[in-house]
Amino acid sequence: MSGTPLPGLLPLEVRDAVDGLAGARVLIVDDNRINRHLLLALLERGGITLIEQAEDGQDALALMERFKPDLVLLDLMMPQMDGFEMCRRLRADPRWKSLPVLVQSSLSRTEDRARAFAAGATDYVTKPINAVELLARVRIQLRKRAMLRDLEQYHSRTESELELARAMQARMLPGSDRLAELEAATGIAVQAHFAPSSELGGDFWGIERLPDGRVAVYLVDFSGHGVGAALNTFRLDAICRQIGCTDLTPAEFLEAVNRRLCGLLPSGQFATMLTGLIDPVAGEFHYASAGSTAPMVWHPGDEAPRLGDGSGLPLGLLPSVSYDARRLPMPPGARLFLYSDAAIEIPIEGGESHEVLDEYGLATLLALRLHEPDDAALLSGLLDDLTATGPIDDDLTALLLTRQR
Amino acid sequence: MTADGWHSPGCGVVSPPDAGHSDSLVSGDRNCDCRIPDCTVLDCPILVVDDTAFNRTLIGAFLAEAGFRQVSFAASGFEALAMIEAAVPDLLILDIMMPGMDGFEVCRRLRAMPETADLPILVQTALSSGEDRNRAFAAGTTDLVSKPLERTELLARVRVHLEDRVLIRRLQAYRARVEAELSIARSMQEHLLPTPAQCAVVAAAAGCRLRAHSVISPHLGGDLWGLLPLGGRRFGAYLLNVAGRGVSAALNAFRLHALLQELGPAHGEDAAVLMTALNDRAAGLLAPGEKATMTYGVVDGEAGRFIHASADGAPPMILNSDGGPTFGAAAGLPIGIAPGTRYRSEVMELPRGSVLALYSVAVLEALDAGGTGIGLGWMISRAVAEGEGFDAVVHSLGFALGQVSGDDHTLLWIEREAAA
Repeated sequence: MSGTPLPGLLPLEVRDAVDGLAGARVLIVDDNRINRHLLLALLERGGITLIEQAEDGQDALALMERFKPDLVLLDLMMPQMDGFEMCRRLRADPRWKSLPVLVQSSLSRTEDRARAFAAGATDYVTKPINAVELLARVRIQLRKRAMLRDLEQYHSRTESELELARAMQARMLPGSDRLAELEAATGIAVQAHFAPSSELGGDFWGIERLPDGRVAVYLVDFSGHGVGAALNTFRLDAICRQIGCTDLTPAEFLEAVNRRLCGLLPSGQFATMLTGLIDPVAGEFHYASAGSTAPMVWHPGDEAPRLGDGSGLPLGLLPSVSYDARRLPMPPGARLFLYSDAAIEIPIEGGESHEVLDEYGLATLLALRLHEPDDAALLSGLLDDLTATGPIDDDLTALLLTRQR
Repeated sequence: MTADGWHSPGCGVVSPPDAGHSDSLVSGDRNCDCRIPDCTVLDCPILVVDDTAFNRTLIGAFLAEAGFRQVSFAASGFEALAMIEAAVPDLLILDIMMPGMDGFEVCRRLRAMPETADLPILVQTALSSGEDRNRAFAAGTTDLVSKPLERTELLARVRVHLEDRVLIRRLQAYRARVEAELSIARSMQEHLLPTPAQCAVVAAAAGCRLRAHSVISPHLGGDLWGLLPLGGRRFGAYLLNVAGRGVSAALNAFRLHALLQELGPAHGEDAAVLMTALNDRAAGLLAPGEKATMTYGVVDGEAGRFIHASADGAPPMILNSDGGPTFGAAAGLPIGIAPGTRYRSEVMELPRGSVLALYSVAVLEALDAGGTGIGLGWMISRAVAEGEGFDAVVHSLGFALGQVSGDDHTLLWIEREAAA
């Protein structure tokens, strides 16, 4: 059987993915020279070429750092340091915590096996050595280790890369210092919650104070989620900043964004967007919506939020669309709630099939908390309610804007 | 990160009381995300197959005592296969000697089916029987437990295999999800680039032929190029590379693309003005340390000129049918470093029959690595001298960049027609 893989030990997919034996390093620890040579010959016949030998635990521990084995074949009864102690020392060292340790011993009593496992052995074969079994177990451990290493490398590489991108996306959103500045200048306090369903998301929002004292706010939700949707938020951010919202009405702004996105988005991709201006002098919220969720407003003393109208064709589908100008009253003390559709597409647990928490369901949840004076407590309470309603499997953004004066 | 399943809600990492190696298959020093919370393993379905009621009870008691919550039992090989067909468990504990269908046969049948090819199978065999053990491995068992059953050994094996399975499944699911996300993103990045038909139309209007070779890394990257149709036998061409790699470089490439779409129609006629305007806008979007190199130029098919500005881009190269290549000398800071930077235009002659080559810095670096003196210029001139042109250059690029695959690179090849 020299070199040929044993049939059926591991699934084909795994066997093909990585040949864990290529370049695998095995350390044999045994005080008996003949045993060592037997094991060495066995492993070599099995296709393993990088092999080191040690005579006892101390000898082996001294070798570990230099040889960096992928597997240790360990005898239990040895002078100086026995296999139990060596195993315990390996497990105490974070570098060798995950190393497969295959114990081979003539101790066959139940208590010995139990002791070996308790000391941290991964597996146990009994002497006299059965060649087929030993090689099979060595292969199982090495292949698994190679596959795990491969997957872990992929994981750690992409994780750090996506973390970098996630930080970039977070930087794109208004930071707490800017919001504090806005609050000081306009009396409009903003509480925001932004939670992509994976590292990156297709949600995006912005807020800006205009020179005439009004405050522009927008909330965007791209189709899909993840990296692709995030790419779209970055270009939309560039577009929004390029257009600038100073001279345009919300409807005109949406139309301008839509024309550009139609030229950029691949077919099948689109975005919903709500953009609006809080006008403190008129006491109104002027807005336009491209298929976004219904904005909700309530005044001090209201028993339930008033729902605005979010209807309108999403962005990126038809360049010639025009959008309606809409308004909601927003006197001092009023609060405005904007959210991505993840908040109203939560499947209701225990409800009829395909039933989701819709805008009215959300308004009902919100109504219970209208009189909470603290913005942060209101928003986090509402988010708790949403989480309790059912699983949220899309990017969720929620904005609470309060006119303090 | 908030990827599904990576953080285990409401369940701490608990070490098993009797074995110090529950997380022994993971590098605990590096990534605690990979550690398998106890509750996940305890919720894995386990199927115990044994014809002896006493053994089923015994194994069931061991598992229940250790906290495993989803243990089912089958009294024969046939029953086991039927149950597995209905729902594949995470681990099978299998007796060998059973009437009807023995354990070897169950193993073989499961390994023959794709959905159970990787199911961990723990076979119970008598310690003494070397023959049985060999046969069990040959039939596809994953591991053995000795009979008479010993509690510590059984639980250690069960745990090791379930932890592996959960861990591998998680890592595989993570990889599948990220690869799917990246593949969508990559096709979006490709969508930014002009199609061959667009290249043909835009270049033909200026009496040129344009060919492009661009490779986008599967992990995404910061390479981008594009064309701006201009009036009067002219068109603009840009090639840019955002510093860094992967997703974050791509995010900034998309930003710059959106800005170029905005600025191109207004400023595309003047290379220096476009570059200056782009830099001013980009400086407001890019974070400190983020930057891009870029070359933008206008190909004038009437006057036979290429007028370009450079933000630290690789120098444009013009190959005449007679004489060696001419390199552009325009210089400027990368995009995003300093707002207010004023870029200058440089005019290069583009006679009939000559070729203008624009390429990403990665191409240049890859070829120059090792200080061989064999640069892109050398390679391109040789390819042109041998009359093979673009295809030969692309071929040698593939050869040269083979070692650094995964990095994106771009080559634009603009040939001015020989006859009017």
